[in-house]
Amino acid sequence: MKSCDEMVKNLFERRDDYAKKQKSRKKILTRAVTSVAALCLVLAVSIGVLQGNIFKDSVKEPENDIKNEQVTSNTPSEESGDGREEKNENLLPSTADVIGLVVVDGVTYIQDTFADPDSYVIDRFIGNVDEYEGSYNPSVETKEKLPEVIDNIINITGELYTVKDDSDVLIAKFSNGGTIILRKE
Amino acid sequence: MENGQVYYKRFLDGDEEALTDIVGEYKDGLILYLNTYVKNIFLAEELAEETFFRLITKKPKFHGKSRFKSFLYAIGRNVAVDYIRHNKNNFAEPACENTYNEEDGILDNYIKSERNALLIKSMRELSVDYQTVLWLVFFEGFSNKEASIAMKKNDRQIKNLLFRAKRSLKAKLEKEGFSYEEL
Repeated sequence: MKSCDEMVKNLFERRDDYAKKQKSRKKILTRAVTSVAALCLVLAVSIGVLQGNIFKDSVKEPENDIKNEQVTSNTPSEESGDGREEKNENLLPSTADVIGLVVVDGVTYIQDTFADPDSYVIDRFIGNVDEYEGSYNPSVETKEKLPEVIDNIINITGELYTVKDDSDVLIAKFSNGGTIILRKE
Repeated sequence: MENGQVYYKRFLDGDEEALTDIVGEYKDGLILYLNTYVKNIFLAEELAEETFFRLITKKPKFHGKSRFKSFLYAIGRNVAVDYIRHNKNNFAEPACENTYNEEDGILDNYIKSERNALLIKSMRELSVDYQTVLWLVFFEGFSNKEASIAMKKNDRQIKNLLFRAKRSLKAKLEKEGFSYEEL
């Protein structure tokens, strides 16, 4: 059996060892926590950067599409070579890039982006575009259907004409110089 | 203020000599108390050392609501119970002669009265709880309340346990032709 002094001596030795172990444990733990925190930070930053890029890409993509559409819709007038090219360049992106829609006598006419306005002969003036229900004078229903379109072109003024030899087509000439073909739905 | 409480306060204030006083005052009693759980005086000594080790490393708060002895013995009980739980498979109750000889040596130092020492020796055949409660109440002078703190039982349980332990010990002593007036 141990004497009292032996036991006390032993206890102090054990306590010193314990204190050392605790210190080294703390050090290891601090290091581990620091490195894990740094790793998490790096991960968070890289995820943030990646997500930012993805977001940018997703925003850019529609812009490219719109540009392509513009090129497509402009091509006929470029081919015609009658100086309309300049006028098309002056078109506001908001009017040139979106699909127009007009309702005349209950019949819906939608913009035909592929049609060449020069291939049609204007017949008669039937009124301003904003007099008819549609994207230039939207009803509540239209507003619900095409809210993003309405936002872009609501304030545009223009004249609406019928064409010769095709009762399914209307031509709209806008105050900013743009001309579009609207075809019966 | 009780000695143990003074020593422990001194130790917490940074006086390392106070640990010598605590160990000197409570070592033997604690070993004998823990021996009732593990029934191996060497192991009980190790557990008593572990108890003091916990006291100086964890530095548990002592509010002075009970005696320092019952506070220390409660820690000792936790240590013993932890040991038994962790060594469930390996734990066996050794009853070799050497163990009893060492135990008798400590008993002789700790219990001055030969009559009491004989009584303790005859307690060895009782169950752990009976031995523990008899040890605390008769030899450590614990009240039922203090014994309940040390053994983590309520007053009612201690009262019943003590009654049954006394009856059991009395029967054993009578069988051996020995009588003890306090039982």
